[in-house]
Amino acid sequence: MRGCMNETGLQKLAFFLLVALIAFLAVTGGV
Amino acid sequence: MAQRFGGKFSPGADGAPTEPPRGGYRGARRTRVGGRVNMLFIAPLPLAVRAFFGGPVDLALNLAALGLLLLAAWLTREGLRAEEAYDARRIARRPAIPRKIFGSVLTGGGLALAAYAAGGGLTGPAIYAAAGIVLHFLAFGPDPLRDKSAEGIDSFQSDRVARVVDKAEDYLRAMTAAIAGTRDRDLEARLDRFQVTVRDMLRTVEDDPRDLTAARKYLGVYLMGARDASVKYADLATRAPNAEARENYLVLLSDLEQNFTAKTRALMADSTTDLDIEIEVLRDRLEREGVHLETKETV
Repeated sequence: MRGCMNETGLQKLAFFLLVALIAFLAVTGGV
Repeated sequence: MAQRFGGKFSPGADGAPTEPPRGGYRGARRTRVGGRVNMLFIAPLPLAVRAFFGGPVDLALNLAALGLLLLAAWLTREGLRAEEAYDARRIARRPAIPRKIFGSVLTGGGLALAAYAAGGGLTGPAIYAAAGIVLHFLAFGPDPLRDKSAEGIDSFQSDRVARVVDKAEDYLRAMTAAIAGTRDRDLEARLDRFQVTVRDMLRTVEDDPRDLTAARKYLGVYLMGARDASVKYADLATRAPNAEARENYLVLLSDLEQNFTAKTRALMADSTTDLDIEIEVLRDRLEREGVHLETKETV
């Protein structure tokens, strides 16, 4: 049995987190 | 007396089209390239502004980080494109460069550089790099790493098929590029329809590589001729409109399309013969072992 999220859901979440991480580092430098 | 209704365009009438026209979009799928992936190009852009608010070292580090992130985004997009081409075929070789995996690593590298430029140290950048690599990998997955071939076909055969299909796709691309230069919308649509027929043959050959020998002339010499004709026509048409050449080119496309369709049908008929033989053999064997099939013929 897999988790409550299907593959595309996990992919979407990972993608938005990735974009958020890049944008966060690009704007603030991560500090 | 009741009379069956029928008009000019009813099925079976004289003027009715025998076969529905097949659009160039048959079997097309929405591409995953674009939309979301483009966000990866936009997200790191603030680095370009940040770069000018520190010293020279900051400038270099931030711009390098921006470069790495943009390169990663580009590799990711190319990787998705390659994966779609791989998925669209029954027999395919794996992409030569694992672009998405490189994209993951470069994203991590870019994030680490950006974090290092802002804060220094090693722990922070390392954490950001690891997070970037993991998230990128989760979002886009790995590239196809193995060659794909149909069941029961040795790698030598599928390699030959993959090579011929690659070559044929190159010819088709060159034709599209040449005709796109003439800016003739009707002609582009006509060429699209022709290419659908060619791709039908490609899929047939992929399904049954034994057809390759029979189809090789079509996918090699004829397609090469069609490409050369397309390039020559495009040269003529861009210099000056040439109605006669256009007419000839259209006739050539129709002729080729008919030939390709007929050949594909013949190849498929061969496959049907194969199926008949399979059925016959199995039936004989069952018969010999005392199992009687209740088919329409025996009842």
